[in-house]
Amino acid sequence: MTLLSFAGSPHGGSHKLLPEWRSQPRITPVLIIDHSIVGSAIGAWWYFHDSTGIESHFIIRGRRSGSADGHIWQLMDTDRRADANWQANDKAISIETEDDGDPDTQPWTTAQLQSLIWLHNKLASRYPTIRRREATDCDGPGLGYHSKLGTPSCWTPVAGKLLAVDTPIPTPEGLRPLHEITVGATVFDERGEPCRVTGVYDDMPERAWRLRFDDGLEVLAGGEHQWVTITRGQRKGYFRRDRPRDLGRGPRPEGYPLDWARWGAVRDTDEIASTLREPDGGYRHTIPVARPLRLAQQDLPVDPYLLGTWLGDGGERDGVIFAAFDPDDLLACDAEFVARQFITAGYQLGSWQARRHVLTLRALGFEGQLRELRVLGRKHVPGRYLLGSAEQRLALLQGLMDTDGSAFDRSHVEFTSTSEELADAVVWLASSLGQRVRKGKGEATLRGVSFGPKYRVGWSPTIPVFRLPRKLARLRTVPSVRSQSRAIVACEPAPIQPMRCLTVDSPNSVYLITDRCLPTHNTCPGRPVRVRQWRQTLLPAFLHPEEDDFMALFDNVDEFKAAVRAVVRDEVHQAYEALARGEINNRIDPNSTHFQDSHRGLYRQMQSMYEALARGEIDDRIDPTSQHYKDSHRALYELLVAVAAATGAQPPPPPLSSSPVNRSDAS
Amino acid sequence: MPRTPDPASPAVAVQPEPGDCVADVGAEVLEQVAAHHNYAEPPDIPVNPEELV
Repeated sequence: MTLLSFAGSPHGGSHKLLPEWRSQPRITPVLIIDHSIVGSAIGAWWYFHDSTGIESHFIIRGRRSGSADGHIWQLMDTDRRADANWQANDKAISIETEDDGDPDTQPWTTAQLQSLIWLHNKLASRYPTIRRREATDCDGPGLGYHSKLGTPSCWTPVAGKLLAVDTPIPTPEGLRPLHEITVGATVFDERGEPCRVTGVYDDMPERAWRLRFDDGLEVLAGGEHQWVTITRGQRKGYFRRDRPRDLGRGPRPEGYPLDWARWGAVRDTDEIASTLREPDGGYRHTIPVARPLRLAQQDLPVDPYLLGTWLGDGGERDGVIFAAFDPDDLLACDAEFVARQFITAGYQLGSWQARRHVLTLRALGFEGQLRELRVLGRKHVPGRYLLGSAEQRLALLQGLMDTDGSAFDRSHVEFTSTSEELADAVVWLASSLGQRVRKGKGEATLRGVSFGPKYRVGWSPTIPVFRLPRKLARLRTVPSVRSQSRAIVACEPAPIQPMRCLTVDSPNSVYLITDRCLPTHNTCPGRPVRVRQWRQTLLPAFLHPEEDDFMALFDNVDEFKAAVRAVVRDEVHQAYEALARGEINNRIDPNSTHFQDSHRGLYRQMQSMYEALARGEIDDRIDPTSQHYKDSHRALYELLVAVAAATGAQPPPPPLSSSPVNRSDAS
Repeated sequence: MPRTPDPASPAVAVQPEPGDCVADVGAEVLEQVAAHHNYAEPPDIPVNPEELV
């Protein structure tokens, strides 16, 4: 029998044993699995009690329990089975944690974290079979959380968040339907970096939605499928600079930050459907476009720019290229530019022919290369050209745009072709380079005669999509913010159908879908906020119990934040004023450019950190109990110490010192 | 397995599927169950201090 003594536990514990606490089958624990109740501790205890057939070994009370926050209840003998972990019931100890019914956004309290750490360590000491490692499969051993292996998985049969199985997914081998993606496959995250698929799950969602974006993109997703969206308020707050309080925030950013997925919020499709518009009718949710995909350089037989030029303005069955020709200004015409590109690429120009304002160019050996690529007679972009490096893809896009593209005004370009295959290639090339494109269809006519359908791909570019100087000159250099994100404009119920979800190992749990490279959140194995806490706080404390004395250094988060603010406010400004007075050591001339630059850089760095703290962003974005926060806090402290040393000022008090906490200006 | 049946409890009306945990029940049901018991603290079970580890 194993009932714990709670002597030494940070918030105490008691034995609230269920009727079956010693009648369940015996087990040998090798795993600890953390859970969230999605409700109250009292409700869960009585639910277990009232003949439901499930239970847990422990419950840790939370904020809802007031002064009992962090208090541990033991419900079962840990040598006996508790039914909470499906196929792992015979080997796992389960710990439920109280919440207010919203663990997706409500983090564990500091007291709960302290009790979890204590309880993990207590159980690991009691059972040598529970090894100090992260549990990575059904049988453990180690520490896990309930949905860690996926939803469903051997620890839970409940399904996760789903997308339609035919949704195309960008991979290094090209677009593949979601149903072909397997564990271990490589996909891409919102920064364009490759990441690995760690789980694949199939199920039928309870609700399905068709999401439509303002670029015409449509995606089918389950009601619980998650997205990271930026609200209109967040977007305006980040970009606007027209208020007095915006003074000192620096120039208006030209685009979203690389880490936008960290400050956006994770929302499921159901929530997006119910909050689609702002009160004034505007669209509430946007998703920034992904950065250019990082694909490997390909060994390409034909220069991609020249291939694009031929695909746009080349002869269907030979290697000639037609280019605009101005006999009055040879150096400024398109033909001269194209000829120069061939020569730069190492070709010798062959015969040429001028008729009216069109020059027909030939490059020696070019036609043979096109034949080897099997594009003569059927113009299309070979697969490896679509999967080249960002430079190679941009060169191909520039070739296509220089010939079949137009710059209508300073902010809009369009590619037009009667070939849908070429139009789709442009959609992919531009999207994989971080562009938000829209594809349309019209009728190709010449002098009133229809020549069938034509396809148009238009967008506001944020990159130089032309090489021809006359077209390039029409583009403005500063991209619009709107061109860097997609707004969700409709969310309509769709027929329920089989769907699939993925988990990936990207830093922000985001991966890309469709040929437009739309970022979406993976099926988060667990509650997003708590999973982050688990990984940043609980797992390190379990793996390295001897190093985790951090939690003991402060009593509550408010005290901690006040201490940080006080240190920053006092020491940063003192240090800056010392610098302003030239009180730096004698080796550096305060009048030198080096000093001035260092001074300005240091001030900007400190000021931005201070402002972030003053805006309270510490509360919203960073979990104060996380390793990331600890590291940031220590980094800030080290910076202040360095400044103090350089200026001869008193170094700031160490992190978490209680001395600044009670100052009246601490808040 | 059935333990201490309480037919009047709202918990009985929401029987879990095999493999479920309490998170699959929902906060609303748990609230009803807690209310059914007047939000009473679960009883402390006396234990022998010498048997605690």
